[in-house]
Amino acid sequence: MVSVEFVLYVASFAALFATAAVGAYGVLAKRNVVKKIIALTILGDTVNTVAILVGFRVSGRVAPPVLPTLKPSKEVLESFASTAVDPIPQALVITAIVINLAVTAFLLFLAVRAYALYGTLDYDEILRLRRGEGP
Amino acid sequence: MSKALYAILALIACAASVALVVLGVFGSPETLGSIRELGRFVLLSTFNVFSKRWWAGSPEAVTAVLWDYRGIDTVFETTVLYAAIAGCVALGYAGLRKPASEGRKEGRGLGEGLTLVVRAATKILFALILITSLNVALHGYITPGGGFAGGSTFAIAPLLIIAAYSTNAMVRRGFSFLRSSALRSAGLVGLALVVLTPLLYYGFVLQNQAKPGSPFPGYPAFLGPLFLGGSLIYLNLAEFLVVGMEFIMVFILFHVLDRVLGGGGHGER
Amino acid sequence: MYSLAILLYLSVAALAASVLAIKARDLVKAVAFSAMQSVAYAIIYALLLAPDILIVYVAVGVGIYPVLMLYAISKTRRYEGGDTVE
Repeated sequence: MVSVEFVLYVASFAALFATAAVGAYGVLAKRNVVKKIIALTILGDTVNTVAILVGFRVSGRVAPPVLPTLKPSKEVLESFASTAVDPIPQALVITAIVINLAVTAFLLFLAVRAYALYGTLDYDEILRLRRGEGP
Repeated sequence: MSKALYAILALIACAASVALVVLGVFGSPETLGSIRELGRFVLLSTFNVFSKRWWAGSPEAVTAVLWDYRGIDTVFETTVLYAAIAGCVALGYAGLRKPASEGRKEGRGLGEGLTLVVRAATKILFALILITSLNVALHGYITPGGGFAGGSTFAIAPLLIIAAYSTNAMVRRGFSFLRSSALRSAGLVGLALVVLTPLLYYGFVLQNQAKPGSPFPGYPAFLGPLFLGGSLIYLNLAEFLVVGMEFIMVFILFHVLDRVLGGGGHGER
Repeated sequence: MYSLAILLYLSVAALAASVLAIKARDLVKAVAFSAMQSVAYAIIYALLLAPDILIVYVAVGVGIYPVLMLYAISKTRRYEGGDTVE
């Protein structure tokens, strides 16, 4: 049978994917634009966490991906490569966090301008006004 | 009706994802304690003083991946940030030229804001945050940190000033839009210089250390008693300037945003 | 093994905070719950030994995002779907 560690690992994945599903539901089904933006940030951050969880090492000895000495010997290097967590997903996630931040800041600007133009933050209402049908 | 549909879709997505994990897409029970081959290669070669064929000259693997192994990704990420801020400036630039419409709402002088205790504490905190963020940014190749971490931590400092005094006070003290824009451009020019200098020696773009097949000798990793991590220290400093100044520009633009459409936003305070 | 148990607890706490954030009709409360979820994720990053991301995420998720959203809420409406809360 599978070990307790694997069950806990899969359960954490399930909780994170459920959070991503909640975020996606918020983006699609809510009518207020600011609520959509909040749900978008939740979705983005959850996907980043999943990426880091994939690169984690579920074993006895783990270490962060930082070499603690400036004069390493061969044994130190070998043990570092065998116990440290994966550094590539972490670098990609830093990039993703900054890009999400840039996009969210721009979307908030757009939301404030849309409110000043249409007088409402209800997305269906804005669509109706743009089509010219009136409220 | 459609909300129930969304809930069912979300449940299906969740169950499918759990099935993916159990089936071994993200790792099976046998490979729980190991990482992928590419990650192991990066960890072995990032500070390998014995065989310097692919080394990156920095004991911090994440910063080495960000600026050396996947450096072009980071350059394009800086471009995305620049484009987003350009969009924000395009939306709100007209508000910077218009004078304040109502004197009561906009003209908060240097003496207004929160109480005296908060203002005195903010002065101390501002200096501390500045030093801490500069330390985090410059030491990005030895300890966890780097350009983005330093820039984001630095952005808390003008936020404190805006909360304790007011945005106009911050602008009058010298963090004006033009000055932040100029500093950001200086950071971007520095980034471009460090990225494109290896081309003068017919090497590769964004080259950090000496690589086989390139006549560029690489940025120095050890300069006498100092340990500079190749090109990483200059790149981190340039990125710190760019990100920190961009945040200040966003805060100023948000403040003047409602002057653009003639004060049309009747928001709640 | 204990770190995995704490990881599961934090993921469930983040799920609860995000559900509360989506269901709240007062947008300021939604921003507060979103900040709670960011704190849970920051502790997850510390548990998963990712110190680089922790520094960026604490500054961005707990410092910059709520401030920008409160700016936007103060210039638009506070309550979702009308000006009264039921």
